[in-house]
Amino acid sequence: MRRLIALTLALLMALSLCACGGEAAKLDVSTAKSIADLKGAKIAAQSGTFHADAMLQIPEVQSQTLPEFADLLTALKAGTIDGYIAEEPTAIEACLSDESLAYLHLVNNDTGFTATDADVGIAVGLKTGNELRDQINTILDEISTETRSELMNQMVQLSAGKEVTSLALTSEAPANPTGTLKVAMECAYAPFNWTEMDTPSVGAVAISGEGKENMYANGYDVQIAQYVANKLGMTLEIYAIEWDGLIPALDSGAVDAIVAGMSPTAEREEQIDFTNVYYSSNLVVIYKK
Amino acid sequence: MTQFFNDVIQIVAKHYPFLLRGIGYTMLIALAGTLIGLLIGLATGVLRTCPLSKNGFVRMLQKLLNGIIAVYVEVFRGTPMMVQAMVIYWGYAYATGGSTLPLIPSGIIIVSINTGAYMAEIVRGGIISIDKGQFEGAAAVGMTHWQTMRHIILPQVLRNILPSVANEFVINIKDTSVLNVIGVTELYYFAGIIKRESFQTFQTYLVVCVIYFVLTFTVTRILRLIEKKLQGSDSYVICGSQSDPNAEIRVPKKQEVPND
Repeated sequence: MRRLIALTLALLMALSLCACGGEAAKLDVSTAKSIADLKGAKIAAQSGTFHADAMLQIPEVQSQTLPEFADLLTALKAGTIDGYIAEEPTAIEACLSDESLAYLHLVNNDTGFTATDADVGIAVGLKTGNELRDQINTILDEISTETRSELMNQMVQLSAGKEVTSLALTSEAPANPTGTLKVAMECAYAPFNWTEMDTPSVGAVAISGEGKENMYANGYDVQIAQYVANKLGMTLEIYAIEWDGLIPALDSGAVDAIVAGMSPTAEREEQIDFTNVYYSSNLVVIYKK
Repeated sequence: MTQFFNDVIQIVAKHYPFLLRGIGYTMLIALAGTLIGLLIGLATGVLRTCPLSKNGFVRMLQKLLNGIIAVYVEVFRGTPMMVQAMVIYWGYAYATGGSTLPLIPSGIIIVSINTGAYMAEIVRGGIISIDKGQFEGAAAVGMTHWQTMRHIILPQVLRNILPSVANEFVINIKDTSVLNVIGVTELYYFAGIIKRESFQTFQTYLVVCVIYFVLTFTVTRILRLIEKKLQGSDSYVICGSQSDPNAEIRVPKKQEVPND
């Protein structure tokens, strides 16, 4: 008798599991024209970013946050989410590297997310009161919009494994450097910054730190940091630090600047200073075809 | 399926120098951390079991030291190592106005301090498990606390706590993975980098999973061998008896204990 009850219960549980599986019918997000069409979708974003805040603008969204950007792609491929939020360059890069992916062409404050320029722009983070800020602003402002988009395009190609021979933004290394500019970034957010092992691509910079031999950083942020350092007459050192460790690193003085695709949001402005924006893009949603 | 195994082989073939480097640092930090932790544990164990001095001033010092040890053990046993890593690494940077500890030594320091807190309790348990008569006997022949510990208690404690120490070592091999939050280039750190480069999350972590298992399994087997060695042979001969000095009592090899 007891065995029979156990068996029935087990069967019931198995059945209820099947029912759960059936309920999770995939929402087709590919036809969405605006974020209103994503109503009720399962969307994910990286925690601690502006993306995670913007995600809540989707009506009735089943939101989910993950600490690392690369894991969002894993979740999408595993089918646990319908899509995830990324910046347009990242989306283009992801879709170039993986044919099964596509993204919704959303435009900020129109069909896409409501965001201020500060939210979707990225800027160099400096310790509050750093005197280099004005100098860096002048250097950044000299880079034309065309150069910026051309450089980003090249970084997207490079990150997707395509060949790029010369970069849109170049500068001479100073003959007599006046010091070192220590820059922190994740080195895990292509095409803004990523890590390369063994064979550096064009323009890549070696990552500093113990145990980081034969590891290189490249990406849009790296090129901007290199340009700024050269123009300041300083040598560039790049440190790979977790997203949540970036502001402590800057605050404590372990690094001089954050160049990590970081948006100068109001909350962060309270802790650190930001320069002018050096790139801005639309927030989009990546989905599986 | 073949595609899957190809991916796995590709990951190993392409990134093995980095995987090896990761294994090297993981083992270095785990081994050094366990050994230093054991030393911390032995030191605190000897100090904590030391009888209180008759001298009032020394007695106060002893009590203070015991208090510090108790706080140390409770704090480091009661907080996650990942949090300790963040607090120690960035705390040092804040305290010194921007200089950071080199990564590998800071990894070793963090694991040592954390393991030391556990070892302190393991060693204390080992010392109090030794029969009280042995302390009394040592005191009777005029041994000091230090002499008793060094010549009588600690050799027995070390043998008794070896399984627990081995356990800590295995835990440390796995737990060094949390040090990736401060950027220590141990095995898990490289798994993250390989994952981001190859976009093959499952395959990458499967490789790393197997590597971790091989490491821990090898270590447990080696330590089990050492334990066996310390136990001595299973079969031995007792020579002589009260009535017959030439008697030999042979103790045969015991049956293997199951679940050993």
